[in-house]
Amino acid sequence: MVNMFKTIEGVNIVLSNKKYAATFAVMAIAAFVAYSILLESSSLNLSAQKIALGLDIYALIASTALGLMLSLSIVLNIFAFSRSNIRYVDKASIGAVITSIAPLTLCCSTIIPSILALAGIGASTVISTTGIIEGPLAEYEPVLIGISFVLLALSVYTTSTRIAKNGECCVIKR
Amino acid sequence: MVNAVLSKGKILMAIFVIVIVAVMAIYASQKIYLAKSGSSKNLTIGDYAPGSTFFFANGTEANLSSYKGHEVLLWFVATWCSGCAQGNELLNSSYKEFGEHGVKIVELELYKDLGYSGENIENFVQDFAPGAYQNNVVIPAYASYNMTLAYDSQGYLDIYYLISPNGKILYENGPLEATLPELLSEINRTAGI
Repeated sequence: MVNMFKTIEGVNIVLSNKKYAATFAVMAIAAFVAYSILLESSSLNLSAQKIALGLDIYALIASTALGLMLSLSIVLNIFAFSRSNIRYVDKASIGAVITSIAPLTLCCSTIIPSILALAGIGASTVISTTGIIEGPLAEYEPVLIGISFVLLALSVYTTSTRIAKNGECCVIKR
Repeated sequence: MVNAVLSKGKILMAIFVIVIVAVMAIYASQKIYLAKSGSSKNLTIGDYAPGSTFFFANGTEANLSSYKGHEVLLWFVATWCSGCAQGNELLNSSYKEFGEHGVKIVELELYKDLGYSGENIENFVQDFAPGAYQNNVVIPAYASYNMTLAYDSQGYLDIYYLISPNGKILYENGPLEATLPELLSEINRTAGI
């Protein structure tokens, strides 16, 4: 049974600390920019023209949700690591980073073709194999983004619940 | 132990920073690569565009000389590429500007979709750029093996070449969804060349 009260309480404990709140804000903006602007070949790429035409609702929602969840997960984990009575590492957040970045960077950008070219593979092989690598990533990109969101949500839930149960104590002194 | 716990936190922070830096580096390297060498190592602006053959959806063979006297945009896509689909949606909102300048867009499915089968190109264009398709501004076609090799030997997705009425490459860039404003300004600039 999911205890949302403990989750909210845990998040509240962390974000009431100004240092962690600022880190969360900076990370959320950085992650949003990375998802929506820098990865210009991905389906989450935003442009003023597409926003004006209303074509980017999915990209806007997904980039915002992923950016917020990713930064919240990381900030909660950092908080949990720094408390001697918690000492918790949530591997789901690392998995979520990989599943959310991989399809957006590997599909439809110049990365795979460049790697193949650097590996010395000839043009005729490149044009017949690039799709074999990028195609499935493109086809299942929404599923992979969904999986990463679920992993991040699980990470936030698990970590914040632990923080709420242990309270705000035991800060490690350097 | 305390130091170990702290270092784990720093490791997680470092992973995040590395991911962000990697994404930025990828973005910068793409920009620099395309700016320095263009989409294809073999073709540059000012070159005559190779007259390779391509095929319309009904199987008719054609080549660039069929469009002599018209400005043509050769746009190379894969039909499983989400960015290419978005490029079509965006194009569908701007196709009148292409039409006003007499620019024909030949949207070419890269040879065998680069090895991963997707939707056929005609359905792809009809689905994502119905207005541009119905008004005959975008013409769906299949690039031959030789054409794919000539224009896109690196196997990039979503790249395009603007070809002048006398067959010279005026401009090249990609992806279209991210560079449409630049393309339109280039079409305005080169109108009449």
